[in-house]
Amino acid sequence: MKRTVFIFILIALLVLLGVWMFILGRQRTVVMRNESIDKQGITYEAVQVVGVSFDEAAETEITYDDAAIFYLVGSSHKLKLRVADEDGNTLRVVEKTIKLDLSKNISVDIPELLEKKEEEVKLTGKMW
Amino acid sequence: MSQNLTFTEKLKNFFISNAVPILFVVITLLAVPVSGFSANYLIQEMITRIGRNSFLVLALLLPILAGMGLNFGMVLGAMAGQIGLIFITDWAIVGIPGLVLAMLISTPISILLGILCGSVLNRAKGREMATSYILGFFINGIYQLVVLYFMGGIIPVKSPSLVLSRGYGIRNTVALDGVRQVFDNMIPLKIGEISIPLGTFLIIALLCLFIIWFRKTKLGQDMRAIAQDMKVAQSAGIPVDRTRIISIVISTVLAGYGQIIFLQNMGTLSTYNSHDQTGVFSIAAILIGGATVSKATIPNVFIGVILFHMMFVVSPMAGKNLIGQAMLGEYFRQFISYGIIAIALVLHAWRRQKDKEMERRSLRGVKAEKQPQAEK
Repeated sequence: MKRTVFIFILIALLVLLGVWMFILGRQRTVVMRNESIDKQGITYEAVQVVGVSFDEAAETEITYDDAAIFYLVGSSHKLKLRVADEDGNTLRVVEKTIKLDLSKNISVDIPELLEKKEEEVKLTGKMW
Repeated sequence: MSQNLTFTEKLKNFFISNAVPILFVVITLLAVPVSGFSANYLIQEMITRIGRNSFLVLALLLPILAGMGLNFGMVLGAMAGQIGLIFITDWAIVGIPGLVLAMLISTPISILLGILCGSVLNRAKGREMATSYILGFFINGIYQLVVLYFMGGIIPVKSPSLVLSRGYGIRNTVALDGVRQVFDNMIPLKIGEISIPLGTFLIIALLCLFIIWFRKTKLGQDMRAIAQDMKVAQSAGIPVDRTRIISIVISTVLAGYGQIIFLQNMGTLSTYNSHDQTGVFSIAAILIGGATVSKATIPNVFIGVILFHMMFVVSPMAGKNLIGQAMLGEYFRQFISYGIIAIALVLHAWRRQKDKEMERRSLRGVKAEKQPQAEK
């Protein structure tokens, strides 16, 4: 009896460790789109150039009507968006904390994100 | 008894007992200068390959301890490890958590396969090596069925980079980008131009400590007693069959982990082939290191890995330089590698025969031993 209980506890601990590893190591594919979109009757216009960087990493520039893919591990990240004109002059810088769920593929519309006033933004997408 | 031996006999015994490693040292010493590789390159290659292969070879020690010979069934564990890697790639789990999760997934599969293998081997006592070799082929068939037909269909695998275009079955090659050399680079260390996979070495060191500790436990002692004499062990109250199954289960689980460590270093999983040669190459390495079917130690593992992989590295270039054609260099590599495995096994059989002869001679006694010499 004691042995059976021990085995069950061990299995439960291993399953919990597995779940923890899943959460800890899950990589999200985040597609950042700089495209004009219509959502609930509101039009969000794409910007000429936007520099995107996560967690102080090197910036990736996304031009008008373009997109870039980022691979992120972990649920909380610092996002820095630098909006620039055609000549590359910085117009404004927006910094946000983004919270990701366990979705594998997440799509983000930058024009919509730029208009959001919240400091912390929750992003979700497709689980598989 | 050994005290009665003359110096010549002792020397002869030493050469007989270490014939395989000595032969390989000689071949390596001849091949290294011909290959033209620099010392730095060879040291780097050896360090990388020790990290890549040692865990797999160490997985062979416990079945030898239990008198079950060389566990060709370790490919079962390798397949379980690969299944773990396929799942973490599909779920996009990267880094150390990815590898730990792959190990956790492989563990129950390895345990089940180990129990199956152990049970079959208990029905084939004395013929364990051939049986486990054939069992490897049988489970390989099931693995192919699962991976080629069930995954993506019955078993949910959704990633387009993994699933074949027809909608089910895993692609021939799986890129392990998320876990590539994660253990190796866990603790970065570079001495001069040589980078050392310290993380992997630490894991291997932990396994060595586990094996040393395990040998001293009750279970370890039981395994040794079973290896000495199964009937006596049974009479002494040791559960022989159960202990043998445990040794195979531990070996299979370790082989699964070993395959994960091997593949994280390679960075690519060849879905249908990666596990094929795992058993043969690991067994060849441990034999080259001076181990036998009945006795193997931790130093045998490391000596074997170094000698076997040194041959692997230098033989193609040595062949190319000797024959003058790059293509022939590759054939030379195959010829040397497989030929060496055959030589190691033949020498092992020959050594066993010599040991038996020596045992018989020692039983006859010194007088009887001298008699035929006088007749000559």
